[in-house]
Amino acid sequence: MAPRRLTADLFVELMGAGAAFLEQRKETVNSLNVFPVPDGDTGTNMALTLASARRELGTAAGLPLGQAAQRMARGALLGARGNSGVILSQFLRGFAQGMAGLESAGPADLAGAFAAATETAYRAVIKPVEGTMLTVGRGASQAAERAAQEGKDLEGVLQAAVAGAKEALERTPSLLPVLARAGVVDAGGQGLVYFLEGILAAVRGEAAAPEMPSGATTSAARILEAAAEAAGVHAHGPITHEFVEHRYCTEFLIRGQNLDLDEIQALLAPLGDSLLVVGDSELVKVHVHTNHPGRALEVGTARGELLEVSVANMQEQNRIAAAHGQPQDVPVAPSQPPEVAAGNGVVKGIGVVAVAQGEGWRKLLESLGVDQVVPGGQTMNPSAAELVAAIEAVAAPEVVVLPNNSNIVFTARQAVELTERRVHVVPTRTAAAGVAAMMAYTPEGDAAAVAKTMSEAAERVRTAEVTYAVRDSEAWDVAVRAGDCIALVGGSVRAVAQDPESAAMAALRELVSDDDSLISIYYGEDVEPSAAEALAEEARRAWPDCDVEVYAGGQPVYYYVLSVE
Amino acid sequence: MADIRVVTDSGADLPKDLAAELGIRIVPLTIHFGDEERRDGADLSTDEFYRRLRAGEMSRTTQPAPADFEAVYRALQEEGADAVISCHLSSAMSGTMQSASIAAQAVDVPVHVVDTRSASMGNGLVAIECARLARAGAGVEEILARARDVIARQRILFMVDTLEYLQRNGRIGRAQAFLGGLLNVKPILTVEDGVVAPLERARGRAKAVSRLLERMVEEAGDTPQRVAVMHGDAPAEAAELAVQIRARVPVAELITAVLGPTVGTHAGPGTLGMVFYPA
Repeated sequence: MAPRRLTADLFVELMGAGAAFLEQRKETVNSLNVFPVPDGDTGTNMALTLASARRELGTAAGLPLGQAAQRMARGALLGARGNSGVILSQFLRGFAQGMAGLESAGPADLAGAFAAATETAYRAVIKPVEGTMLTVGRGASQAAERAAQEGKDLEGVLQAAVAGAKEALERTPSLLPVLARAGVVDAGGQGLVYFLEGILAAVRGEAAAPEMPSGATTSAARILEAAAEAAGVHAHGPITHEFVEHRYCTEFLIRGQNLDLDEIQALLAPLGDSLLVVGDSELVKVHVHTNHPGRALEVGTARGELLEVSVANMQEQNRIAAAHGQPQDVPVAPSQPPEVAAGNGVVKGIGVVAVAQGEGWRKLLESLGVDQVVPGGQTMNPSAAELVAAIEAVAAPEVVVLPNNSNIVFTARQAVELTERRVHVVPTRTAAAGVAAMMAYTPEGDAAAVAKTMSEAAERVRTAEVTYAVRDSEAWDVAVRAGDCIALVGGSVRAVAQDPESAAMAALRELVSDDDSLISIYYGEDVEPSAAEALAEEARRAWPDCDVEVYAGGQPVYYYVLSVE
Repeated sequence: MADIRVVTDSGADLPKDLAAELGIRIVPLTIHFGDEERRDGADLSTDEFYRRLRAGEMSRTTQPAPADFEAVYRALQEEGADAVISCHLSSAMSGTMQSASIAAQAVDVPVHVVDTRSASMGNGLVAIECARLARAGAGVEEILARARDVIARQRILFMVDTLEYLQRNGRIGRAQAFLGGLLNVKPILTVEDGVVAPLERARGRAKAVSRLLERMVEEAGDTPQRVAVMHGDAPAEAAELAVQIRARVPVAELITAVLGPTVGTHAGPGTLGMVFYPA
């Protein structure tokens, strides 16, 4: 029989069911990318955000519903990844606010919480765009409110919410032309629909069903197929089948007292590489690639209690990623612990956290004064909690954050609310823009003013990125075939070529003007230094008045990041 | 009318003919190449200095001895000076002020030692202003008030080709934050609280020069400015910068000065910058 009221116990069960339903379908959501580039991660980000919400929620045994919902919302905020994850976490925060003070919820309460969720999510987005997850959420909440007014029970309200969400999802291509051109529905919206469908199935007592065809999956399946094909035809894709020296990506938190970061770092360093030890004397986050995850964990258990332990077999991940034509989560060496500011032991007033993927980028950014480089980028968006850990590891009262990716800007803004530090987000959209921002950085002065001049400096450069297409697309002015090299400028495909260097030259021809004096070429891990140098020579011949500088960025997936100024 | 004379040091980078015209006495700092001791402007020319620096020799500076100042103050006293205004390198960068202050107490003529809190023409423009007022018949208090006013209002902006010289000689101040970049980056600096302070960095010389100019245009606004353009053996760039300044900023006066061995030791070849204040 259908439940009459929503209790904390049922809430835990439903959250689990919704999250699991989405988890099973996250690759489908990932494939609903308007760009034919190998960076679809909306489904992964939403699933990770929900996983964090569930962890924080725990069993919630005996709690009033309102408190359980608060816990869940906090977990979502901490674990939010990518724009889609952040917006989802705002929905969940609003939902929890709608449930505040309730022991349990009836149909009207549920509808009210849906409405609060929609309102909070819209408020959180600076410029709400219709045709996105926001539209889908509103579709759900409006339908839920109508159903509650009509006297429907819990199941009836949920059923209406799912129907409203699906209907709104189908409308997204007509609201956002970019979706229509790409032949997809909004990925975040699809993720939200899956989440709600999973909840409805659980309320009905149905087991989580295997993936069923819905409005989006037909096109999604076609796209996945194209992606797999692209990975096959593309000779120098980012996927390596090579032996991974340290097999297990091991991450955990240590909670204790008087934790000594330097000591923990020293004990873990011999166990592997890509070591990251950040945090404070009471909570430390550890990330290490090692063949001895057990020994790494014992360093933690000897000093406190372990939380959020994750051990992933990277060799297996590579194999699966290769088989599915998806880019791997490339291991990136993390940043060193914060140094006491340059030279003479002077403590900085303003520190900097930057997000970047690739050893070259880490070194470049650190050499410019960045205190903490958080590994991440297109294919691996850091969570708000990871950004907070990095922010709090900086030895400065004020911290500037450079997200260096449009999909991380929102997460960075979310991180601002989760820490006591004064944080200023400079919304850089590429790592090259991050370098430009660092030109205006000074470690002292009024942090808000410094952040503003950093933003202005970032805007003085124009950047482009060169990658490859994972599927055919007619969405842009140029036709793209899977496997083509494509150049992206400001979020649109601006050039297509058969090799990365030709695509890069085409992008530069679009970008370089008579006023420019410097072209910077940052090459990725799949590019030979000699190929990058040949590209630079070609650029020097084409623009003899410009200096052309070449740096090893080491980023995955993107052959080249270019900047012109 | 009281006979008031102006003294400065070789760290002011005053062009010689201008100093002569205004009757400003310049006390040289000592420049060391290894064990070799030379006196800035007296027996070491700027040309020779930069030639040796570019050839890889390293120089150091030492402040003038109190006796060097005392000799100059006594000479001025014998010429009939009623008072001396002695304008010097920032006391946070150099011990020159210290020597001058000691000497001031050893002579009968009243000597007013002014800490310009700056270097190069940041020091030089203060000395020029004082000398002109003295010539116009102003009294000591009026001249000192004007000196304080110029010191408060003048702004110095400069780029160095490398931070190596500032660092090696311990004058890097807060600009140490700009050390150690992997990119081809030129630091843009100022002097604040009497020490070198970082403003921003630029990717390459051309961009650095254009940022200097943009910052000056922004800060100067529409008010006519007294300007000094300074360079460490980069006369062509300095001349081009002066042309650009005249084109974009109302200029009441513009003096071009070369960084002599004293400041050149700390800033290095290729330094370029400007000092300015509302006329």
